[in-house]
Amino acid sequence: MPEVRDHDHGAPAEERDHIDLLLDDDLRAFRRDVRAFLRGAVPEETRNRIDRGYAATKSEIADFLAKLSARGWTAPAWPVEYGGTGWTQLQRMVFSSELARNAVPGIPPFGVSMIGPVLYTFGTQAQKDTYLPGILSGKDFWCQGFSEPGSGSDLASLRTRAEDRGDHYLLNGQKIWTSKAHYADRIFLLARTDEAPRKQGGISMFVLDMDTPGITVKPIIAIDMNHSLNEVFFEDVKVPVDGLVGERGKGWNYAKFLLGNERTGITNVGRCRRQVERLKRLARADLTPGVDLSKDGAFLRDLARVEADLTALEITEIRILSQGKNGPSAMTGPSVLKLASAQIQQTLAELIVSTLGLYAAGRGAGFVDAFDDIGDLPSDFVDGALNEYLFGRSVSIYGGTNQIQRDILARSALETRP
Amino acid sequence: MTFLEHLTPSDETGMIRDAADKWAAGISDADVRRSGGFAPGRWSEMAAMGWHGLLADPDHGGLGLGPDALSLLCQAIGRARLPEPFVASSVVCVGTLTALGQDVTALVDGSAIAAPAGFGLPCDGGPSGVTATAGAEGHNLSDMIDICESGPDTSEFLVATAGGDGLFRLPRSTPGLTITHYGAIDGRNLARLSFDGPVPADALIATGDAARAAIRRGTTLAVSALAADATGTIEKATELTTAYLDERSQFGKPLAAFQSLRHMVADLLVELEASRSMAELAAFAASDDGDPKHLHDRVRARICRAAQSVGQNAIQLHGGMGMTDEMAIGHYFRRLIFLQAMMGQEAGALRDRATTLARDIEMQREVAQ
Repeated sequence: MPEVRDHDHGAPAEERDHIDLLLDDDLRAFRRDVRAFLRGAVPEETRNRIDRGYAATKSEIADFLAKLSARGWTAPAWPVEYGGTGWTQLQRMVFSSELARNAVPGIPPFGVSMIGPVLYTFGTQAQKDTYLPGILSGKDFWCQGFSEPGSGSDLASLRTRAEDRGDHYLLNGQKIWTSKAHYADRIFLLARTDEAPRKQGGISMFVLDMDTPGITVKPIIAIDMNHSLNEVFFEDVKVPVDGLVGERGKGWNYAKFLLGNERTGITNVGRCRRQVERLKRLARADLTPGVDLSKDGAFLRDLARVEADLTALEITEIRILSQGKNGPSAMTGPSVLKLASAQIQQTLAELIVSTLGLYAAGRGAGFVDAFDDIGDLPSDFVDGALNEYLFGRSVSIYGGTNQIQRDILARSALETRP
Repeated sequence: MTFLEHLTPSDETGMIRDAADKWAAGISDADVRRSGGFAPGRWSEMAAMGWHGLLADPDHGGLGLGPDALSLLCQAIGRARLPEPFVASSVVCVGTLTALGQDVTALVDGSAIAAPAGFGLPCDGGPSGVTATAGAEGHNLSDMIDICESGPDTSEFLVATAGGDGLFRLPRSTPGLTITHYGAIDGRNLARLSFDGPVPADALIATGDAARAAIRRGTTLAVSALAADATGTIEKATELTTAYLDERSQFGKPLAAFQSLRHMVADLLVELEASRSMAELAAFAASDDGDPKHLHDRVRARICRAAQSVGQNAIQLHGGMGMTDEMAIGHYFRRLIFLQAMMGQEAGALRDRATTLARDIEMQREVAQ
């Protein structure tokens, strides 16, 4: 297999980093530090695999988190007293952008971005002491038990029940789409503890260990033919009372708090920029003999259009993070970002697949082994792109579908309630 | 200045915004309809507030402010859909002339109005190519310029020759200059210019690199101003549409109760935010003398698409009423069409960007080999 070149090798400086324009000298120096650290912390082979569109393995993630943790960089956004870095919003943006651009394993969001902030904001001292260190060190992997077979977009209709038995809650029910549950150490979940007039009432949030008796995990193989999703069953699971997060019956509020964080965190700007570079790489790869994409007006126009979209998304994200007077409100900002970002991510993946031509028909290890390379690209470059395209259909579904985001946005702009 | 600092307006810039918003909010739709393509009263009011000299040096009576303040002012102008040639005269011409150290006092005090020809508006220069050949008593100009934002009140023209290596400053009375007026789609005044014959020697105010740099400055300011104007227009079109949906009922409930329409509104908001972001970027990228083309091509492309999409969907959401001249929304729609033409259309901007991308890919190929 030929040597893989650095994905942004050879790009003119202004194109490689047009975001540079937005940074001052200190931030540029900061970025150099981050970049050097990341490239040292993750083996090149791992970065190449991720760059081509394959998911990092659990051990690759764990190795990376251990190094991040040693540097104190696992959870930059947390308050300093809980282990955050005290960075400015822009430093954090540069950091997360570098994570994506350098194709290191993603920091799993479930601990750092989701339950962590809920616990240090609403949790008891004991919960903070018990759970936050394991998140910061990267030792504990978490998963999220929200969706149920009958409760997807209509999450508040969930039926998993936690019955108050005095010294514990008795948990019965089922969760679905639970990413990484097959290797998670702990789970945070929503369950109904009380009957309430509004379906959002009576829901509570719990944290518990995945090795608690009565929990069964079953894999769901996704359309990318990989295993990252699961079903999780709870049968008479005893949840200790100190597993209740915050106040009983307020789980819905905590979930909204948590999902708001999730939406801001999933713009994936850095990864999108990597995809733009990948498209340029594909354009000069001679994948289809006789077709020079760098002279194909339709291809260049599509590339230019999505690149302009991406630039607008980057600026919108900065406007939100800077919390300036002109930025979108806290209510609309995350939904605007999520809709725009889903559109861009999917357009990029679609464009990439369309440049693969007939090779988009192959898939998997056998396909990779059948070719040394395709054009002047290694065959797993093609397979990885398909991998990303397939699972990328989920970005407009998870964290609130595009249609749910539109509902939220419309509510902000219209007086009338549906 | 960093982009973050740019996002926090200075006190001076904030004052411009507040004054512009307050002034523009006092101008009704009926006022704008009554005034036709140009209201001398409004032009004087803008002069009194110093806005024609926003970009000019204090030596020439200007405020010496930059693209940040300009952007906020142009958003207010777009919201009120004012037809006056503010971008043409007070942005492109004052900006270009100031870059050359030319006297702009009369433009700043509002007693004169200038129009750029062959550059700036449209910001990709347009299809015209005026040629200048040296003659005994100055230069002979020939050929036509199809679109020039000028009306009967325009007092002078700033004319770029093909290739941008010459810049002429010509009074309206210049012999051999024929001006044919016509109306713009959004009600402002336009003209077709034709040149035939010699112009005085002192009309040539810059040549070569100096001319190109000044033209580039004027064009950069034009992109920033147009992006802001379009953003203000899009913002107002969105507000008019949401208000209409809340107010109008069918099937016994407000239109705003129907999910299919609500989701279209959500898409208007996404486009509006993309425009605001691009207007911010355009102003920031114009804040020094560099060439921001690699960013401005994207700004033009993205804002043109937002303008197209919001304009069309706003009409659709107004239903049959959206087809009438009576409703303001159609006037905003037409302004957006004008602004897209001035930005070279999404297709043109993408073509420009694609040329750069093709060059990048070619360079990467060479490096890789």
